[in-house]
Amino acid sequence: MEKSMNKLSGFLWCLGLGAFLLVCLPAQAASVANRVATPLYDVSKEVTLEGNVSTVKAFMPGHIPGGHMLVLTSKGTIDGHLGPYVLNGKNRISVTVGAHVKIVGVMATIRGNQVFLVRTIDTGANKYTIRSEHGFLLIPGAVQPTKSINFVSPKGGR
Amino acid sequence: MDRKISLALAAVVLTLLSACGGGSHSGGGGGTTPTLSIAITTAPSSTVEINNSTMAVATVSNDSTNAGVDWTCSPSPCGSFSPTHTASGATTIWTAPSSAGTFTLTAASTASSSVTATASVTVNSVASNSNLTGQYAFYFSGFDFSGDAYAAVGSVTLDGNGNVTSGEEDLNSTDVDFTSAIEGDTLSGTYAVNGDSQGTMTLNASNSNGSDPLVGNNGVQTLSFVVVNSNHILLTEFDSVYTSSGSMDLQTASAFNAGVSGNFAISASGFIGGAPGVFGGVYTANAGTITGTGTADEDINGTPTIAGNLSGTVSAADANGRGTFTLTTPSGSGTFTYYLVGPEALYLTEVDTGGVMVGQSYGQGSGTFSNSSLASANVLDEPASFTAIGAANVAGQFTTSSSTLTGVVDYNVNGLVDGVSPTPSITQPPTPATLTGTYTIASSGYGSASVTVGGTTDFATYGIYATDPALNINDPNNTTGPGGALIVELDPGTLGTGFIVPQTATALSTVNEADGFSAIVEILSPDEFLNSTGQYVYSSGSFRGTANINDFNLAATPPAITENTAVTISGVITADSTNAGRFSEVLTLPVIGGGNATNYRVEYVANGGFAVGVDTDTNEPGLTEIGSDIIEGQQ
Repeated sequence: MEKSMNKLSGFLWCLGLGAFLLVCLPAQAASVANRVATPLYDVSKEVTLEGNVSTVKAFMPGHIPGGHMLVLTSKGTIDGHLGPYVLNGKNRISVTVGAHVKIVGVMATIRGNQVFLVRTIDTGANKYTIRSEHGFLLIPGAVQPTKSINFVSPKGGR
Repeated sequence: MDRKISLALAAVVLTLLSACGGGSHSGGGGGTTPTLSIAITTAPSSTVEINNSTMAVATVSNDSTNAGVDWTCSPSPCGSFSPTHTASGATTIWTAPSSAGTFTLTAASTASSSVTATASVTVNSVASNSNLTGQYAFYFSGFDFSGDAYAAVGSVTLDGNGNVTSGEEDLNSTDVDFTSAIEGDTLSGTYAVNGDSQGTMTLNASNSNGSDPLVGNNGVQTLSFVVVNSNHILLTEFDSVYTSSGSMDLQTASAFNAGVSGNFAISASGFIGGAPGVFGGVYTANAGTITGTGTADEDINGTPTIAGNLSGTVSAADANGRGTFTLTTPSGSGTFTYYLVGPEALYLTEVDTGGVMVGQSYGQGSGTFSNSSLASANVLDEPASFTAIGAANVAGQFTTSSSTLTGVVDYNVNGLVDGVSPTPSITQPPTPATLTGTYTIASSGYGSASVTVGGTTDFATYGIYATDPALNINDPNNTTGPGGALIVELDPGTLGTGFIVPQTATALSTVNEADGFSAIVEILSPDEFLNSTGQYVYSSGSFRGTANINDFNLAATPPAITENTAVTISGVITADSTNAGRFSEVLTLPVIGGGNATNYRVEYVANGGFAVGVDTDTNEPGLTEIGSDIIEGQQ
C-alpha cells in the first residue's frame, strides 16, 4: 500500500513537474537572465549635501571625463560629477563659483577616488536635474513627451 | 730568345690591363674610376589606386662610399616615400597621392644626384560619382551644436552624375524647437565622390512652407561619406549644426510593394524626454499587423522590461520605401517612420514628440532558430551605451558551445578601460577583459544572454534577436559576411544596442578600408562630440589615409565647430598574439591648435573585410576619446 502510495505520489509529482514544464518552459525558453549588473547609482543611497561651490569645470585632467563641480561642505570638499551635457550648449546650467548649493546624489568610489554622482542641484534660484533616479545623465532642456510614448515617459528632466 | 719574347709580351699585357682600368683606385696612379650607376631592381607596380602603396628597390653600382639612394617623385603633389633614403638594394614604400595621374618615381644615387633611374606609375581613382546611382535609404544619429540629440532616416535618389534628384526625410530631436518631429520633408541636392572614394553630399530639405530651417544648417544638410561599395556608404553629417554617424544603402524598389512582411528582428536606441532608452525584439508582420508574444525587451532610463508582448501596425511603403510603424509594448506605444532598404532590411526613427530613437530591423528568413544559430566564433559590438558616469563602448569576440559563451572584450566606460580608472599610465594596449556567460535562443530567434565581464559589473544582461543567416546586417546588399543577431543591453545601470556577427577570419585581407568613427564624448580639453569618415590603406602592419572629422567643442562660448577635412591619419596595427582576431592600433592624428596626438584603439576582425573597434584612451593629456569605429573593406 505504501509502495502504491509512493508510486502514486511519484506519478503525481512527475505529472505536476510535467505540467509545470509545459506551462513554464515556453516562456522561459529564451531567458537565461539571472545575473544583473550592479548599478553604480542606487537611489536608496542618495544623500543631500550642502555647501559652497569652489570650482566648476567642464574638464578636469586626472578626473573621470565630464563636468565637475567641487563643493566645500562641512565634511570636506566633494567632487561632484556632472557628465558631458549640463555645462555645454544653449541649455547649460548656471552654477557659479561661490554659490551656495544643495546637491542630491550618490557617493561612488571609482578607482579608489570618491566621486559624488550629482542628481540634482538646488541653487535657491534654480533647481537642476542632472541625472534620472536611475543615475542616467539627462540632456538638459530636452523636449518632453506629450503622451506616454514608447516606451515610457521618464521622470526627471528640467 | 723565347724567354725574352715572353717577358716582353707579359709587359705589354700588363701595361694594357693597367691602361684599361676596370679595377679600383690603386693609389699608385695609372688606374681609372669605375662608372657610378643606378638601376631600379624591383620596379614599383605600374598602376596603383589612389592612396595605395607599392614598393621599389634601387641598386647602386660602383659606389665606393655606399651612400645609398634618395627617392623623389613628380609632378607634385605626388605622394610620399617611406623612407626617402635607402641603402642600395633596400626597399622603400611609395604611397600614391589622393589624386589620379601619371607619376615619375626617381631613384638618385646619394653619392651623385645626377645619376638616376626612374619608373613611371599610373595612379587610378577608385570611385567616382557614377558609383552611386539609384535610390538609397539612409539613417544617422548624433548631436547638434547645443548638445541636443537627434536622429534622421530617409531616402535619396542619386543620378550617377552628382545630382540628388529626389528624396524624403524624417528627423526628430530633443531640442525644444521640435514640438513635433519633421516628417516627410522632400530632398534635393548634389553629391561628389572623390577619386579616393570619399565625398560629400548636400541635401536641401523642404516642407510645405519651403526650406525647412530645423533641418541641417537652415535647411541644408552636408554629409561626408566614404564609399564601401556601390551599394553601401558610411556617412556623417558634416556641417556646423549637427554631427552624427550612420550609413546609406541601395534600395530595392521592387520590395516596396510587398512592404514589411515576414519575421523580423528589431533594435532601437536613443532618448525619451532627454533620458536614454533602448528597445529590441522579434516580431511578425503580416498584412499590416505586427505581433510578438513575449519577444520584446526594453530598458528606458534604467527600467528593464524583459520578454514583453509586442503589437502594432505597419503601413504600406511609398515610392521612397517609406512607411509608418506603430508599436505597443507593456509600457507604452510609439510611432516610427521606416525606410525599406530591401525586403529584409529597414531603417527607422521614432517621430513622437520627445522620442528620439533610431534603429534597424532585419528579416529573419524562413527558418527557425536555436542556440546553434550563433556561430561557433563571433564578434560583438556595442558601440554606444549609456551609464551613470557617461558613454560606454564595448567590442569583443567569443566562441560558443551549446549554451555557453567564452571570449574577450575591450570596453571603455567614460574613460575607464579594462576596469581601470582614468590614468595616464595605463599600458597600451590594455589587457582584454574576460567574457563568460550563458545564452539561449528560441525558435523565434528571440534570445538572451547573461554574461560576466572581468573588471566591471556594468555589462550583464542582453537580449539577442537572431537575423537571417543569409543577410549581412551591416551591408544588407552584400552577400559576404552574413548572419548574426541584433543585441540590446538591458541592465539597470547600463543600456545600449549593438550586434553580433560570425567571425570567419581573424585578419583583414583587404587593403583599402573605409572607416566610420563616432565618439560620443571626446576630451580634447573640454567635452566634445565627434564623428568622422575616412579611408585608409593597410599594408605590412601600418595604415595611412585621410578622414573628414566634424568636431563640436560644446564647452566653448559660442560652441567651437571644427569641420576638419582630409585630415591625415596614420598608425600601426599589431596582432594580439594570444587572441587571434584582436588587434591594437596606435593612431597619430593632428589636433586642434597644432601638433599631433596619439589615439589608441582595439579592433576585432570578423572577416577579411569587416572589423569593429573601441577606443582605449584613458584620461591622457591631449586626447581622450570614448568612441567606437567600424572598418569595412572597400570593393
